[in-house]
Amino acid sequence: MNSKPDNDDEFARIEKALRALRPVEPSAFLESRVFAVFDDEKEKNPVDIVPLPVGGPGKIIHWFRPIAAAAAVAAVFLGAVWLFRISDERGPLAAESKPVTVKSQYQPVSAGNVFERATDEGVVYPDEGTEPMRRVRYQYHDTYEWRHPEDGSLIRLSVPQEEFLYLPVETD
Amino acid sequence: MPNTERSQAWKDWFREYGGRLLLFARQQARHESEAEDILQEAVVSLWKADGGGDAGPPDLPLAFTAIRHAAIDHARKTDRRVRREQASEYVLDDDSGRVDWFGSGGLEDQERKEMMEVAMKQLPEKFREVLVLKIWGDQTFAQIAETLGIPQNTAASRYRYGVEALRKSLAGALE
Repeated sequence: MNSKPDNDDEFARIEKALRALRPVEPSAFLESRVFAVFDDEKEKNPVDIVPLPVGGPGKIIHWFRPIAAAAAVAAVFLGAVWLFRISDERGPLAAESKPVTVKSQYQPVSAGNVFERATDEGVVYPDEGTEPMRRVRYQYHDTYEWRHPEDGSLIRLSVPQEEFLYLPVETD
Repeated sequence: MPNTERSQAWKDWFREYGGRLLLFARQQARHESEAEDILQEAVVSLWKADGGGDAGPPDLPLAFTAIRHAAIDHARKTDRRVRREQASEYVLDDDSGRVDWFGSGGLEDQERKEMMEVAMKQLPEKFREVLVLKIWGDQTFAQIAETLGIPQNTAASRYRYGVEALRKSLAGALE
């Protein structure tokens, strides 16, 4: 049996060896993704961003199911219809959000599709079959922007999308 | 703090602590890509936490807590059960076969570094995450307890058991 001092020495040696290990830095790709958030477009257009009253006040929707994403697109469409029909008469939806008076219409600026990444998730057997397939997950997001012609305020919506691609795996 | 200064401060912060934060995120995930997603979500949530104000980068305890919360949310989103109190072996990306957690600097013997890394990955998750926070996160047991939602004594015990487990698996390798 080791004496207590020997164990303590061994313990300290392990700690010292662990501290000498240096964690690997995040990849350049991850760093660019994070830095892109720090360099948000808001800094180039210093105006308030007015959130759409869908999915909760002041919240950008984020979820990764295609069905839910389709529902988000529908909500975007309804939200856009609501925005473009805003007048001085407040409707029930406006009452649920922060009180923002919009006297003229927001104008659509852009709509786009931004590819984020493709991730190789390895070999799977879809539907419990016997044929191995390599599953690749594609992630991207649809973006929509509207700008107020008078004060330049910007509304931006980003809807995440996700698709899976199954590629045959050579087994010969 | 002007936006550009704030952005630069956060970038500098991420460059300095990103490795340690990613290492902890890897303890909360089962795949490398998931670890990066968790880290990104946590950092973004911290950046946006003050509503786009001028808050500077967070301190490490808050960052580690945010990573843990992001991991829990991520697991819910992907509809998977996450067993955080049970031993689990880290699943390496099966296309690369190996994901290095540690660089080769700091130790002369690359082989010894790899042995230690393998031994770390074989530790039960509940020991490993405490070790990561203590050794590389420079957290006190009180801070670790708050981040992981466990009693302080439990944090200290898991740390002790974790180092002891490494001592046994690396017996003689560090002479």
